[in-house]
Amino acid sequence: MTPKLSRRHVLRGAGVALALPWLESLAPRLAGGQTLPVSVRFIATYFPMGAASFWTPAKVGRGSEWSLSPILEPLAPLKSKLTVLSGVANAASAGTPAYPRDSAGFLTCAAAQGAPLRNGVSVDQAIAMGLYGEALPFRSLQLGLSTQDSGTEGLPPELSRGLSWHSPTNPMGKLIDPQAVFDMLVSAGGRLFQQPDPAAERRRVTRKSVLDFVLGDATAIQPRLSSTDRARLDKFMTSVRSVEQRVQSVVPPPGCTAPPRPLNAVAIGDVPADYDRDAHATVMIDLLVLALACDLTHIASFMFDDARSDFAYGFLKQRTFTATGSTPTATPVGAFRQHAEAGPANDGHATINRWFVTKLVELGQKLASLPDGPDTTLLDNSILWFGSGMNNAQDQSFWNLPLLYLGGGGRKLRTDAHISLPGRRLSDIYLTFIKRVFRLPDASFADSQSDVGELLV
Amino acid sequence: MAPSLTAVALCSAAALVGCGGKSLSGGKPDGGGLGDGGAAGTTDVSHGGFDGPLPGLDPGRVAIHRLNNLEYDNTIRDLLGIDNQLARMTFQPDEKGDFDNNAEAFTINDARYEQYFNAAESLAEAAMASPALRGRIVSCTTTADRACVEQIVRTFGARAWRRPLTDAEVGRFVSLAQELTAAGRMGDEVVTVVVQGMLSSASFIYRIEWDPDPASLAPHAVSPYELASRLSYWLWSTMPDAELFGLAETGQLAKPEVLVAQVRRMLDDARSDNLVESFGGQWLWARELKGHSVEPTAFHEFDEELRAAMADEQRLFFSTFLHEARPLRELPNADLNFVNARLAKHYGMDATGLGDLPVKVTNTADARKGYLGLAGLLTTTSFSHRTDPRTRARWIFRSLLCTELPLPPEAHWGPTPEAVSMATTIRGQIDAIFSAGPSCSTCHRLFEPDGLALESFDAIGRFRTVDDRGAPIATQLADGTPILDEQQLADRIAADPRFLSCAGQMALIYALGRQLVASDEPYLKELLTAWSESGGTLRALLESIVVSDTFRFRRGERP
Repeated sequence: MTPKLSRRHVLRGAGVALALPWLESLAPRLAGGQTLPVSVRFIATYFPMGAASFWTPAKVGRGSEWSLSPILEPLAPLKSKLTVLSGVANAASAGTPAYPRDSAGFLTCAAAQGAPLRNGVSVDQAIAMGLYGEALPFRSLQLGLSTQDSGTEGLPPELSRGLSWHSPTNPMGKLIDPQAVFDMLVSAGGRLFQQPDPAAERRRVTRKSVLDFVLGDATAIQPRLSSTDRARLDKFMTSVRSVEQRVQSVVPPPGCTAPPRPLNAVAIGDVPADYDRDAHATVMIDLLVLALACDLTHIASFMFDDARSDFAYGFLKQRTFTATGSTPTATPVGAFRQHAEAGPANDGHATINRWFVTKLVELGQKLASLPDGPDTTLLDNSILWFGSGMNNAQDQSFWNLPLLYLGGGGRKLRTDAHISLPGRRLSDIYLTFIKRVFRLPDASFADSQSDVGELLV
Repeated sequence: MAPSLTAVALCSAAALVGCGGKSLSGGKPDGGGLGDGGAAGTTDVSHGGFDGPLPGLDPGRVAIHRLNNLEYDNTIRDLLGIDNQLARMTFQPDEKGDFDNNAEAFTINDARYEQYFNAAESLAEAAMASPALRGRIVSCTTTADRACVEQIVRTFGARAWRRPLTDAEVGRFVSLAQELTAAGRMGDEVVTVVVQGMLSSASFIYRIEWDPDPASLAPHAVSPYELASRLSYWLWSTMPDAELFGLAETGQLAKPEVLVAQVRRMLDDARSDNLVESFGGQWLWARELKGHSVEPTAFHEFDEELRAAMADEQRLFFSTFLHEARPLRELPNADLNFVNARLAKHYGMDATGLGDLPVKVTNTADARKGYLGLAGLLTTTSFSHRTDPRTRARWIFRSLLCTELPLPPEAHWGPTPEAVSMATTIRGQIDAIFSAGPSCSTCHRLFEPDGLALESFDAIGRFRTVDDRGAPIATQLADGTPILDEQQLADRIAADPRFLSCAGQMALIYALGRQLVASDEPYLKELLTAWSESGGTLRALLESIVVSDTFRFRRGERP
């Protein structure tokens, strides 16, 4: 893959957006141009086969009471937006074969099976279905990385290569080809991404002048009317303003300038000779940010790798981990599963984990660079969920999962914390997102028992 | 004259349990409806002076008045020369009060304004792009010249906004033109946007009548230009023509004799067809025929050709009362039909010599007469597959007697008596209601026989001797209550003083574009007296309205 696919192409202009008052930059990003209350975004990201040692922070607490673990150390710039959860279990998904259930159960908290294919509804889809009022081009997006025919334990690959389930029998799959994702987003973004058309721009300016005139005229005559007629004219003016807002919204917002089309396609089983996993991850992250920044969707899931991945992470240099941090060596990392199954203390596994964390940070920082409401960023108004469906690939257990989130879900979730929740159900965490952050009426999710007050501000 | 009082009286003291039908002339916002009586009813209204409302009388006020879709289309046609029925074809359908020119009922929303705004853009561009139409807008040679643009603003603006623009308004348009010029627009481009601005503005989309003091309740005459619009939108559903504008400019229009002369001129003009369609069509439900469904399995004879012939007949029937010296009292029972070959066959008349075009016939030999016997009305007041005597009764009470049939009192909302639900025919049901005791029969007796009187006509208005179930058409109810036939009923209604009073109310509601309130009662009384003294034709009614103080005066309202 070519290094030209850098994020500056994708998010050209994002820096400009930072300088704009929030309403001006936000309002045009909304579909139809109306100013909606700030929406919360849910982005669930996943990595397979659990975490190595040195994932869990040494201390539980808030703010200065806790500090990052060696694997989580790249999150330092975002620590104030971060909460790590320890001790949470997903017993409902535990069982064999474990690998497909690692991914299939991560967002569903159900006991997935292959014949016949059956799982639960995933939390991202539960939220997407609840937000039916948000008429965005995509109700949700499923993206990720995958380059080879990773092992599926003889079960349907939908279990191992996807996270999102619209219904127990309807897996959403995921897209891995940057060109396909680009084409889909740009086509849905429509006029947001069109080249500036001088004739259309002229028309827009004229319409704006006419509407300004109509409003000025109505404002001038209004005091000469009686009270009930003033109220009637008020309605008229409200409608004029609403049309005016729509006329303005034709301008593509600075945060969503059309990027160039990615140069390389990626397909499962057809890995290009110059395949660059890191660049692939970056371009997929950039496309995800584009979709979120342009309000093409508010819900996404993202797989950093498939469940039983044998991908060779040779582009990474293995790091040596100690309780205080890690240092690089000259040895390339080998095949993922081989490291993961070698036991929790494996440095190769920890190095791969740490790479997932660096890519998460890349995503988080891009979201944190986009303003979204007064004094808040897109990251503040998101739940950027990150974790794995198993504890560790050696014991293949579904207890004490490696989990964390970035962003406060619109200032509803506690951040800068390490919270220990021993034995707490993963579905309870999801129920908390559904009920307390998205304020959906659902009373339960999968095998949930109650929402988790410890997470809330 | 108060219809609901009459209805209550008929209902008798023994039946006080709420079968007083509600008067159509609502009560809000200024007090009770006409039927509620009230202090105003005792005022002496014999004075018919034209110098201003009598002390203590209230001419009322009409809200700023958004053009309905018909008015919009006609106005665009007369203003720009573009007759494409844009609003009727593509805009949201109109809201409805009693009539679709009721100012209070008309609101605006974002989508509706966007329609006006988009229409203004495309209409302005279309008009300026056509050399012939451009001449209606551009009255000077060089549109690049600022003075020329200002002249267009004044001359075209006075027609678009139906009154001369104030200097401040002209100034705002000139600023808009300067802004456009600064942005690189030139000549006709600027004028196009100015026209777009005029058609997008409140003063075009609404008819606004200005009060010198919007917070004062003191009556004042509406301005001559406002009077011109009152006349033109009432009788033509469009903007004033050059003659009305000319009379407004000289101030002549305010004179009662000029107003009466204008009504006569305007009714003789073809544009008064709009009054027939809009006022007649809504008052007498003729407009409903277009969207009425007829079940083809029950009536395979019904087709669009027949529907069109029925609609023509209703229109021509009403039109007769506008253009012939025939008292409006005869509307329910005038023995007239307007038939083409198709409709004549439908009526069982001799179709010899008839073609596609409707011809006026008088046929005293058949069983039908009057508006009540028109196939279009009998169809519209039926269900798709059978007649519904109660809908027909409701039409008679509402349209001809201005009385809304009451809902049963709340105490009677329990289960229907078994005998009623077991009945297999409508008449059987009605018989059962009557025998269910006085709590039902007292009120039902008032209106059921009128609906049953039209049972000799099926759901597409054909004469018949047996009902939907094959039973002979009844002449009396089980308890002996007689049922009239259609001709007897038509004669009875024509002789009922409530009919003329109702016609007067309907005409006044339509003319004012608002509901009547208690304070209108003296004006209505005066109007009905003047009308009966001047011959009782529909024209005489409209001429009486135009000189009524409530048509020519208005007031502000309390803040």
